[in-house]
Amino acid sequence: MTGPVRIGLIGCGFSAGLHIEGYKKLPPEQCQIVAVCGVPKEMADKFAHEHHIAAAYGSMEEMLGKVQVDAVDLAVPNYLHAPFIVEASKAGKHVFCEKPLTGYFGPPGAKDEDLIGLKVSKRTMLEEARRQVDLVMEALKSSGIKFGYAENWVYAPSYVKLWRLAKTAGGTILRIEAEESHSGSHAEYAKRWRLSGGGSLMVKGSHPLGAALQLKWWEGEHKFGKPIRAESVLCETGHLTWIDAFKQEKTHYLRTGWQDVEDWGIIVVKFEDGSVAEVKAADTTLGGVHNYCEAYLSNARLRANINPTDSCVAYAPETSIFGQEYIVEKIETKAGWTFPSPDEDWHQGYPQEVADFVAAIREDRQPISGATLAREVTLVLYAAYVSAEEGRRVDLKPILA
Amino acid sequence: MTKVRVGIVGYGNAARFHMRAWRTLGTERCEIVAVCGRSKDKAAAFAQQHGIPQSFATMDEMLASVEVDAVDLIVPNHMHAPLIIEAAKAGKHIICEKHLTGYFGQADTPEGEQIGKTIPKRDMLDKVRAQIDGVSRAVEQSGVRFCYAENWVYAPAFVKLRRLADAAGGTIMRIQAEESHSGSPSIYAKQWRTSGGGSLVLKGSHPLGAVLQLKQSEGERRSGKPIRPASVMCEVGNLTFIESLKREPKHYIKMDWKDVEDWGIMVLRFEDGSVAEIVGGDTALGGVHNYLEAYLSNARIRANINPNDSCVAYAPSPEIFADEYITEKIETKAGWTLPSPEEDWNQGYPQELLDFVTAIADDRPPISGFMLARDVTLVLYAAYVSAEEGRRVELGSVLG
Repeated sequence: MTGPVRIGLIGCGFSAGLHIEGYKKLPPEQCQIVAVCGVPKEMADKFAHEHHIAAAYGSMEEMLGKVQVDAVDLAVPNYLHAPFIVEASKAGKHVFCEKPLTGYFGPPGAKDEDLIGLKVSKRTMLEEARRQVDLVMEALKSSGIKFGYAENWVYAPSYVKLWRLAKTAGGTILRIEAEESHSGSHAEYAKRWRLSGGGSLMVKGSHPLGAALQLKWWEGEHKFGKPIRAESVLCETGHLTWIDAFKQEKTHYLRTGWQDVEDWGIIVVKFEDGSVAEVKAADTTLGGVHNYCEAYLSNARLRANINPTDSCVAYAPETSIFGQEYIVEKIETKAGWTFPSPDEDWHQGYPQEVADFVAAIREDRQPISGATLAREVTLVLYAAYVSAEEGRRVDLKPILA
Repeated sequence: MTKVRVGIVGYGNAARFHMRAWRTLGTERCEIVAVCGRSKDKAAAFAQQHGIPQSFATMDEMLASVEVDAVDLIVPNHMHAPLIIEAAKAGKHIICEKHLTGYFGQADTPEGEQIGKTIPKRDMLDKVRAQIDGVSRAVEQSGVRFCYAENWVYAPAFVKLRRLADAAGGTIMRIQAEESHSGSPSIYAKQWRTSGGGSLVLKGSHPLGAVLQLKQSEGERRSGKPIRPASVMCEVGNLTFIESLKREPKHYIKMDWKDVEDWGIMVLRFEDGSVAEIVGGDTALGGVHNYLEAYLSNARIRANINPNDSCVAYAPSPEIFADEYITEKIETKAGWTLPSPEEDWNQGYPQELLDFVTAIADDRPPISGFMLARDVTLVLYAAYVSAEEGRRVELGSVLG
């Protein structure tokens, strides 16, 4: 493709802000954000003004009708991912989509205050999520568009280095341990199943899960020409912020208010070759975000510390000393020892994922993190929820088939 | 001060490092007065090597011939239960290496049977419970002190973690703990008949013990009542059976596991709603990997038992540090390593014996005692049931 990739940004919240920083790093001959849309339109106008975007609209439909774009970037609530992917691909637009691909967000007509996470069986959720995934995959296949799944861990430099080392070492990846946690989302949407499609495992766990599944996929392809896929899951979820002793405490450093979603979970995956992964997510971790992936190979051991890392180490006797200087996501104090992130966006792979999406369109290939990974993550996640609810191991073969 | 007279039972590897630890306690608080073991000659040799005045072929003989206050049981796991009962009946305090007991097959189990594959884990759990009940009765009736040698409870890093947790006072919401290394060379560890299980039993029992003790003491501090585990969900695996691994020309991790797992994870839920993730594994390179991380409502604390960075070393080539010890199970002395300054002390061996001896002398319960020993064994076997049956197991009826 010659000429810049023209991008329409759908959504103007937190994710949109992250993504646009990535696009801005690319030269204008490679890509341009030509429009943004959001609800209410005033927010889109404000975002457009702040980020020097030419046009702002109140809906994706309007935007696609009025301006030429090659691709859309979906930075919208989880429950809108599937319908927007389908709409955009029908219009022949490439799609960059935040995680998750899709999920279960309640029966039609469900209200925000319906606590569907406590009422609807996880098996029903899995079936509906599967249906949505199939619809999306069908739309992608028939449209032939490029689909980028914004799993930034796949692009995080330390993870990329981990894979390069694993590939070179060549040993069997026996076990993977990965986690994303912090002290709790501020956003209300993260605390209700209707809006988020799940709790810690969905909102956070999808990252380390994606990273673990991707590693085994690549290992299989590289060594045997065939990906190594997940075969079963065993999962536990919990509501740690509902512990009585915790509720009685006067000062809460952790976020509370979790409605019908879990605030901690662990997914134990067994792969078809016999290897395993322990994937963890929690909203009950102090000390700043905690994102890492550790791989135990037969002839090596590798750990990617996505955040924190010790590339910069700081100490201050009091929290005021570093003033307004950013330290790291979700750290409670700037006093004591901290691990300031030198360039957090870069460490987490945000600009790199966006660059790959743009390059993929220009080079007429699929992005590195795409529909296949997106699908696997969604289905394994919901199967995990079934496992936790039913208290038993769940066979993934019929689900991933 | 009452001097505690100790009789050592056993003379293997573990007995050697117990002796190292005993020696650090000096001679005022305690005295090793005798050693016994199956072979009278080997017992005598051990006695001579370690300056112990007397040696015997059986514990029976030892208890009949010499005055001891306590026995230090450093024998194979399947002998723990009968020896505990015997010692208790003789009115001797007991120091017992992990494990309290386990399932090792029956008297009539055929010699080569791979019981880890043939006996349902539920049957194992039932038999273990029954045996523990017998041991429990004997210990209770005798009134002797029972000291469970779970060194993690005494490891300085873990002790500091517990002090910090006590000071912070916040709810311990989640604990993550692991013990792994690259695998035992001995055949003893690889078959159920002699080990009573695989990685979970031989390694996972350490972090499990520390986790249970942490929640026990949190509960005692808050309300005078220990917080016990309520359910377990477990997965085990044989990572060394992976085809592509077997085909590799060079193996850095130990292979030849028979009918036991070489990796396992136990996910516990406690009665207060808190959780723990506990891993035991024999497939980790890079030296032993022993740590416990506690996530409190108002703090986060991690105990790196081994390795930790109190000493950091680098050498361009493995022979540079020659015979100087680095750490347990490290594959090379080249590159960056984290040498363990004083591994016995770091792991809590002398400290546990000090607590035991003081507990016996002062007539108080040791920090690591019977309830912990019992809960660890029962949770482990319930975990095996969970992994075999592929489902969560409620612990209420198991722990009683």
